[in-house]
Amino acid sequence: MQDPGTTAADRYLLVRSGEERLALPTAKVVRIVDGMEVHPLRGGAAVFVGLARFSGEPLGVVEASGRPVRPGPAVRRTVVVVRHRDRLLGITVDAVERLAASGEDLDGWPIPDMDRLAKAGGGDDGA
Amino acid sequence: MEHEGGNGGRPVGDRRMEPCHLGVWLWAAAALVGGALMAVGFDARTPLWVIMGVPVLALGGLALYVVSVYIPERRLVRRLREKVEAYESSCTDLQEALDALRRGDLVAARECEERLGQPFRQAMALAIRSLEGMVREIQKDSVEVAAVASNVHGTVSALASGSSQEAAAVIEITATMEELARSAAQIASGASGQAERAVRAQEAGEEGARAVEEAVEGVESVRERMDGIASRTEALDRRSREIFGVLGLINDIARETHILGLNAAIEASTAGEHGQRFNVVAQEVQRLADRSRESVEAIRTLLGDFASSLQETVQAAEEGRVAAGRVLDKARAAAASIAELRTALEHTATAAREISFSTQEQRTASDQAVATLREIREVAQRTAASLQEFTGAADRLDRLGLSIQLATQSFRIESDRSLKHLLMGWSEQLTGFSGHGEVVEGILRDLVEGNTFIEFAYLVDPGGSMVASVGNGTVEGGEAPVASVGSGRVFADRPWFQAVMREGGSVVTPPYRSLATGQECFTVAVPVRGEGGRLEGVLGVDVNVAGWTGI
Repeated sequence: MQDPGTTAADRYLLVRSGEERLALPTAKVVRIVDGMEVHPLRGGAAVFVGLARFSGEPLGVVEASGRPVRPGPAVRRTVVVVRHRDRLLGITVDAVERLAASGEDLDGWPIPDMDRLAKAGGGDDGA
Repeated sequence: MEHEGGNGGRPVGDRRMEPCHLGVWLWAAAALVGGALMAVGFDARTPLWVIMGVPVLALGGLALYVVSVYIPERRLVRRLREKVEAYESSCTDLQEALDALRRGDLVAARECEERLGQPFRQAMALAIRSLEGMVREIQKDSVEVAAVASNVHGTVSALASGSSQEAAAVIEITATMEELARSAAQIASGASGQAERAVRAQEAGEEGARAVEEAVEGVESVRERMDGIASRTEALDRRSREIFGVLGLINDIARETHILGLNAAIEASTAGEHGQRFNVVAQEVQRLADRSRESVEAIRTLLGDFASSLQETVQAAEEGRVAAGRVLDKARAAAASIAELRTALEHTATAAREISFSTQEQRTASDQAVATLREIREVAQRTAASLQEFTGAADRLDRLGLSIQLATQSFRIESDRSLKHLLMGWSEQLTGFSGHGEVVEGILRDLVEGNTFIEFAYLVDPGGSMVASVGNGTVEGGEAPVASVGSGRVFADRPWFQAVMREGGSVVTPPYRSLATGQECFTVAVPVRGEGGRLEGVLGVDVNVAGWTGI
């Protein structure tokens, strides 16, 4: 599940969401926002958490672990804002660990399918 | 005792008659001789009437003599002879009567008395009646004496036994009282010691009470301090919670700083060559954030440990406070108990002193009682000894009553209480049957069965051989008479047999111990006479004294 827009020499941001551990390419990371208020929105994909405000613009937020999201009240989460195919996408994580250096072994830290996440977050599928 | 007039009556009469007859004959001879001499001596001148007158006078005188002297004298002599014969008969009867009296056979004496002439008959009758009355009286009195003596003997024996038991009981009581006195002394000593121990315990109780009061004060102080520790610990807990809050804030700051550092590093990485130095700063910031988070975690861990310890301290302080409260309650209860104990010990000491005093008084009283009991014991022992002597006297009195009774039995009177009289009557039933042992045995069996006081009844022939005997099984402890016919036993050497054979009358032996029953008895024996007073045998009866006197 390698993002075609990245290479092995890229650096990655290691995050955790529940039991899931992920490596997000730093080239796609725009900002890490702690305590971002996410407003739930019904009718979206299963991993779609809701909408948030980033730089004055609405931002679709998805669950990084891929787990189905239960509807509920607005919550404050740590959100990693990424840019994928020129669109911003919020990915909720439980903790941001560190930046992985180039050439570091990322065994156990898979790179998520950004297209699928982007599609769930309401963005273009990039096709 | 030979009667002097037995055969001497007739010679006396003859001696008194011979001069009379001689005088008559001398007078007749003198008349005839005188007449003859006068016939020879007178001559013719002598008148015939003279010659004849002499014999005539002689004959006349003789006739006068015969008529006036001889015939009356002969009448007198005949009457005198009759008198003498009557006198001799009376003497014989008197002798027999006196002999019967000598044997004590008043019945035979009365038979002889009936043949006596006056005044012997009246005198003898009076004598026999008087003697018989006296014997009856003595017999009756002897029975009463025997009964009284028996009662006295029994009473005195009972008294002696009771007195001995009383003395033994007094000895036991004395020993018990002595033991009681010793026990009282021990109790007094023990009570005195108890009083001293109670006093010491009371003093120890006072010291204990003071110690408990100090302990109560100390425990109260501990509880107050525990309260202070608890309050201060709670304050510390509150402060630690505040520190936790601050740590949370620092942690948030560190996290934000961490994220800031990451964002800076991301920005630096996107800045290319220009972002290299910024990236270094971002990494430093990130490292600081990490160190801050690690420090916060370390502080949080330490503070958690501190909070746990503090919580344990709070809990321990609470438990200590509760325990101190319980100890305080118990100490107060112990103080109350010690106060009660002191009161009880005070009462105990007082009671022990009173017990000691009372037991000392009891000991004194016991000593006095022991002394009195010793005197009573001596009196009882003396009484028992006196009663023992009195028992001997009563025994002698009993023997004396029996002797008197046996003495009265030596007389035969017409009474059912006269054994000799009874045996004489029974002997008459045996007359003519001495040669028929079975018949004699039957008669003796009837006698034994009809008279429970008889131990043995037997008939012995004149040669001393047993004809038949019957024993009273009831007296011997059996149920039926035990008979024996012709056993061949010889009783010729027995005193009663020899006495009957010698005296010809009845005898009563002194009392002796019966070989059959082991009880006291005596033997009564009477002759059995047949036709013409011929001796056919001797009837003997062994009389049980207790059975006889009990009738």
